[in-house]
Amino acid sequence: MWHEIGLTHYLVVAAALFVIGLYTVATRRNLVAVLMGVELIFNAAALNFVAFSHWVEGAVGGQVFALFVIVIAATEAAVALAIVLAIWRNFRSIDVADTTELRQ
Amino acid sequence: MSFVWLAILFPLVGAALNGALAVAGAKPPRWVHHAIALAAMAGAATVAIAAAVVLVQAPHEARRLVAPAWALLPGPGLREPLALVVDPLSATLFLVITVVGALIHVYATGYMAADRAPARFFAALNLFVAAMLLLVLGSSLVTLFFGWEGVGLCSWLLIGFWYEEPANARAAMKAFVVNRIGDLGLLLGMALLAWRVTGGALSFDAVVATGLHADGGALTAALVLLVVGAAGKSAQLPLSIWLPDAMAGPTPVSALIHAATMVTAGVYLLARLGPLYARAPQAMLVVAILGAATALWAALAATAQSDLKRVLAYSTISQLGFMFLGAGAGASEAALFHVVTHALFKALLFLAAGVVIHAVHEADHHAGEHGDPQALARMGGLAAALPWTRRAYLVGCWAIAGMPWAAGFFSKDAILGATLARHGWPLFLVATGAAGLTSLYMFRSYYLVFRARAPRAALAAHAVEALDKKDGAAMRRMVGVLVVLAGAVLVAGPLLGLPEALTGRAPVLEHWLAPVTSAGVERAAAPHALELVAMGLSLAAAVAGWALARALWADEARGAALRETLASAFGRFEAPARDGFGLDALAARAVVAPYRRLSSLVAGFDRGVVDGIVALVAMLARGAAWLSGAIDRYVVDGAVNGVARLVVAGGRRLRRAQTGRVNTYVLVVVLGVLLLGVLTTLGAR
Amino acid sequence: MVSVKRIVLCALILCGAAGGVAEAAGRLRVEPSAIVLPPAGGEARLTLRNGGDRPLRIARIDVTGDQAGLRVAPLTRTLQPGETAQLAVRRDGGTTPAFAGLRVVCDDETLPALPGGGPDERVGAVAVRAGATPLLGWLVFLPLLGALIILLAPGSAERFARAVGLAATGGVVVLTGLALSRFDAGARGAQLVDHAVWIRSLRVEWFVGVDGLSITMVALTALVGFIAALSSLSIDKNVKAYWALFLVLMTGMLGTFVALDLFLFYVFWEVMLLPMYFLIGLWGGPRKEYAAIKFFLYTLVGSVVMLLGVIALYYASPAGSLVDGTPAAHTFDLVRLASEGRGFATTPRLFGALGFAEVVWALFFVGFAIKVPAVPLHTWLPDAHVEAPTAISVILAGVLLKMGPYGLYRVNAAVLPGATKWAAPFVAVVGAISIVYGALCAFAQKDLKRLVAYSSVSHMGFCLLGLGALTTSGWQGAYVQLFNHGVITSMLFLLVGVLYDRAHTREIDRFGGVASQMPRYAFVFGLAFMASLGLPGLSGFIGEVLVLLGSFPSYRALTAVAATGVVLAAAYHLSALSRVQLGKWNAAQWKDRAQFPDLTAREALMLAPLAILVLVLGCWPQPLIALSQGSLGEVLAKVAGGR
Repeated sequence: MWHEIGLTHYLVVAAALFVIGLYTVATRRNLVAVLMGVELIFNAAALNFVAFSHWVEGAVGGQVFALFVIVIAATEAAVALAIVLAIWRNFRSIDVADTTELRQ
Repeated sequence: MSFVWLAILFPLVGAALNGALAVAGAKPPRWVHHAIALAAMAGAATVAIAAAVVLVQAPHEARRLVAPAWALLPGPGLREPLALVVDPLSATLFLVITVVGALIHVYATGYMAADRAPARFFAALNLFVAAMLLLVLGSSLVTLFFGWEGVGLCSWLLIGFWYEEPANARAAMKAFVVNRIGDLGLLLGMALLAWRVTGGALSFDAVVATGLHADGGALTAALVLLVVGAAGKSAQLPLSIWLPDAMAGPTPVSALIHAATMVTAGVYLLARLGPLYARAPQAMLVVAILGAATALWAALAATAQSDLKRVLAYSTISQLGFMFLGAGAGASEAALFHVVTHALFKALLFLAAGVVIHAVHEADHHAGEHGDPQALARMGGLAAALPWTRRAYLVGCWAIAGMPWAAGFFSKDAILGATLARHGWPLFLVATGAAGLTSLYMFRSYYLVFRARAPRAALAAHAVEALDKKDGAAMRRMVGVLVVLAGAVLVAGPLLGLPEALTGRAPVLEHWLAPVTSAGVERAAAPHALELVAMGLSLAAAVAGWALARALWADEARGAALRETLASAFGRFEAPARDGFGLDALAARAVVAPYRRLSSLVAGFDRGVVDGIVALVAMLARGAAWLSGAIDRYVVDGAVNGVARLVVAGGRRLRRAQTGRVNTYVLVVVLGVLLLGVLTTLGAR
Repeated sequence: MVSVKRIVLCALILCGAAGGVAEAAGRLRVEPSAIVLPPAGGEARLTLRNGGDRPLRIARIDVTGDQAGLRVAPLTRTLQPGETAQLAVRRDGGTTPAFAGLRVVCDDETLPALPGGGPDERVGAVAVRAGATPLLGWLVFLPLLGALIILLAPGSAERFARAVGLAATGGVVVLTGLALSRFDAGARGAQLVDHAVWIRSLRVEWFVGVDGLSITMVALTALVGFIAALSSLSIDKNVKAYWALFLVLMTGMLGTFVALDLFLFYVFWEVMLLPMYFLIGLWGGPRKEYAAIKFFLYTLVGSVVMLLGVIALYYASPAGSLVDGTPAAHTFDLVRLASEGRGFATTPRLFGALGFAEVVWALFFVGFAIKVPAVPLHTWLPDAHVEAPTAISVILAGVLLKMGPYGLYRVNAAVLPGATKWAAPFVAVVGAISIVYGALCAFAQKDLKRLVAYSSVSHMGFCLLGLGALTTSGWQGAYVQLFNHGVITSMLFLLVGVLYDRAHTREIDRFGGVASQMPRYAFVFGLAFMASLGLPGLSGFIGEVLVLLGSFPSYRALTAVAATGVVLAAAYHLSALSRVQLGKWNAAQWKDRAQFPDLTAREALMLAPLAILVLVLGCWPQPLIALSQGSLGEVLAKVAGGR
């Protein structure tokens, strides 16, 4: 396995990225940082798609999906940042701990 | 022959009339009550005489009048017709009860002339006569038992006549209860007879007929039980304790009930079943021993009495003992002869005593004293004031002592002769001793009452004068009856009972009674020599008794020395003898007190234990109810509440997932998607 | 509030009157549903109609029950829907009432199946009654009617209630006299019978009739009830309620004595309980609540045990039919249970030596023994008597106590003769113990009413002893004692009540010399006490002597022990009599003698009939014995024969 860069390597990197993104989402207190984590997860998924697309014969869907992911990520980032701006205006803070009004 | 029922009906109607007057509270003139009572007695006596006449005219073996009524117990099962039978035995007593009873009624009109409740008195007296006649004339043991209890009731009514005095009520109750103890024996004897001997019938004819062929053991047992009953009614040991106390009643009552008639019912029963006793020698022996022992015991007690009526009471017990002895010696006829003579002379003695008591009471009244008018110690000096009474009393003493000619002589000798012949010397000597003592204590009483005693004599004379002035007719009635009775006493003996040894023929009464009392029984006549020996010895005893009495008490001064020696010898026996040798105390200690304790114990057991168990059950039920409630409250309801609490606690835990933080929500979403994916992949595989 | 109560009551009555279950709507319709023929004979016509939509095949007409003289025309047809058929039923005249059932055997599947018949054979039942008289029904329900009238009266209506109460109990006396006049002492079996179906689904019938023993008990109830009603005139609080409850109680008592259906018997038995509870608990003395609840629960426990027995007998009973012909797998009919039950002795052993019959006998015995009352199940009685008002004590002692031995005769002896014979020694022992124990306890009592209560325990012991002796005299004595004790003890309680009304105490030691103040009262008091202690010539003696003489052959030692009761009775009776009536007037306690007037007219009127009965029956018990002898003899023969 170590003598050639194969699918596995790409999957591992994607998994690592995914986990890092998940960890960021779960633990960071800064809303923008959480958004960054979400972006990491998107990219991990896109990487997975591209890797499979390359190593499976005739599969072009993965690359198409990667393009979709990029678009959605951009859209989502725009919407999410708009929400962050709204939050900043309401709560005067973008700390997650300060926006727990829906807590039970 | 139903006219015989009139003899019972007349006194019943008389009792009902007087009773109605008493209950209604009406107060007609006194003679109305007297008239009702005397008319009833006259009617009864007439019937008795008529029945006797019819009987006499019948042939010797067939003397029987039957007067049936209705079926008392109609059966099936126990069948008891209600019927009266007049045969020689019952006719004899029929006459005694009605004639002597009538005389005593006449006396009572005088004696009770000043009483507040004559209606009640004469009603009870008439009722008594009716019951006694039912007893004597009844054709079966059950009818006899009706009369038996009826006289017990009347005895209770009359002993407690002056009921405001608690002691009288107590005496009445004692008499009734002690009689009932005897009745227990009578009932059981009847049951045994019905079961093992007669097969269900209890008429005398059936009992005698089947008993003569019956199994000895059962018959003896039944007869002994009947003796217990007879002993209760006739005041034999140990059921004699009621009679001395029964003297609390008015003197005519003592005369009629406790001397002449009721107490002889036991002897009547024994005589009625005489043929059967002849077949059960053990039973006869029991009767004889009982009679002799009672006779001696009572005679001893009588010697020490200090109350005139109690002397006579113990004397009655003693004489009844003689009658039992006669029955137990196979001489039922002699016993019945003694019943007749005893009725006459004891009634005479009691009635005379009544006059004496009246006089003493009046004397006390005049002197302003309040002593006991019946105490012998306060008597004396009455000879001049009451001459006819004295003569009558003397005749009575002569008779009861067994002096020659007078009634008691022949009857007592017949009994003693039969005893000697049948049971030998021991019982005979006991009986003769009792006879001697009889003479002793009777003459003692005579002398104590009538001997010269200067201070009392004057008082007595004044008293009798006052009585004569107050109600001379009453006094004359009373003394008149005494005279009639005295005459009868003098005549009855030779008329009815000259013994075979003297005349060569059976005595009149014996011959008259034989078909009934000795039916089917072979009577071995006592050898004449033995009879004469008995006669001689008993006469000797009687004379000795009289002589001793005369020496001791006829003259207060002369006998003093002799009295001293006797007192030092027998003095310590005097108190116990007066109390009947502690029989009363024994009864109280051994029967009454333990019964009271037992009764309290049982009642306490009932309240504490039996009812306690009920209360315990109730307590357990309440405890179970409490337990059930507790289970309901804490367990069942607790489960319900616990579920609620569980739900709330669970909710509280689960709520912590809602942090309000975006991180958490995003994380959960992603993890959830991952999980779904894994599960789907696994599921697809 | 009152009017609402009344409306609810009316509604309940109407519902109750609506009675039995409506017939399931099947094809067979019968008009009329029951035939009543006159006693002299006659004819009736039945119309059978097919009310369904399919043809109805009628196979035949069967007859069950009293068929003598009954003639039914045969009928075999198929009825089309809506078609009718006529059926003639003819009966010749007869002297006794007859109850028969017509069974229309058809194929209507909603009807019960014919036992032993084919799958298509169903039974439509029609009752035929000839010559039946509702006399007993009127007798039983007249007091209940009176109670309803009282309850419907407006306001407190005290005088009205008393008048209706007296009228009702007086009416019962009149009807009882009528029944007695129609009763034939020599005939066998039940008389004045009325028999109809009541609760079809439970197989319960309205079956009433009297035999010798029940009619004496009915007479006793009527007499004592009327006298208690006279005594109740002095009740002055909640008068309406009192009289209503009293009359319901009368109905319960009368019903128990005439019921010949076991379920009906049990219903009436229970009906007695609740009014008694209230009568003691509301109008009684200081501890009335305690006494009432004690009485109620004690008797109820007995009733529950009895219920087990009732159900057991029912399920073990032989099959037959109801009076109108409806087939029934089991029955409550006491007459049939007695005659066809064969003593229930053939069923298997349950506990060791105890078979079904013995266990059921014991169940019933517990219930009845509590009522007798037998030692040791008697402790409810003294409290109940002491706390109850006088009239209720009279009813309790005079009538209720008689239910126990009556039940022992009607159920235990008649239906379970073999078990009765097996248990007879036990019953006799219990009786003897009761006699002595009751007498001992009575002697120690300080309260006059408690003393009389314990004397009742002692007297009823004689009943049990006679019952256990299994001899003719024993049984005669037991049931004569039953009637006589009812009369005497009623007198005793009335007399205690007279004294209590004046003195407001019953403590014996506080009295003394009453005879000097109240002579008439003392006379009657003495009469009653002498009768109670069994003086010959008064009625109490007859029963006692028959029992003692009758049980001696069976149990000598036991009878000897029981006979000591004669002495013990004299002791406590005379002791109480002396302490109350004789001696000096207790002036320390009672300063005002005017507080003690002699008997009033009402009191004398109450006591007089009882006193007359006591005197007459003491010398002439013939009518009493003759009435009950026939039925007693029959049952005794079965018991003694061991079947």
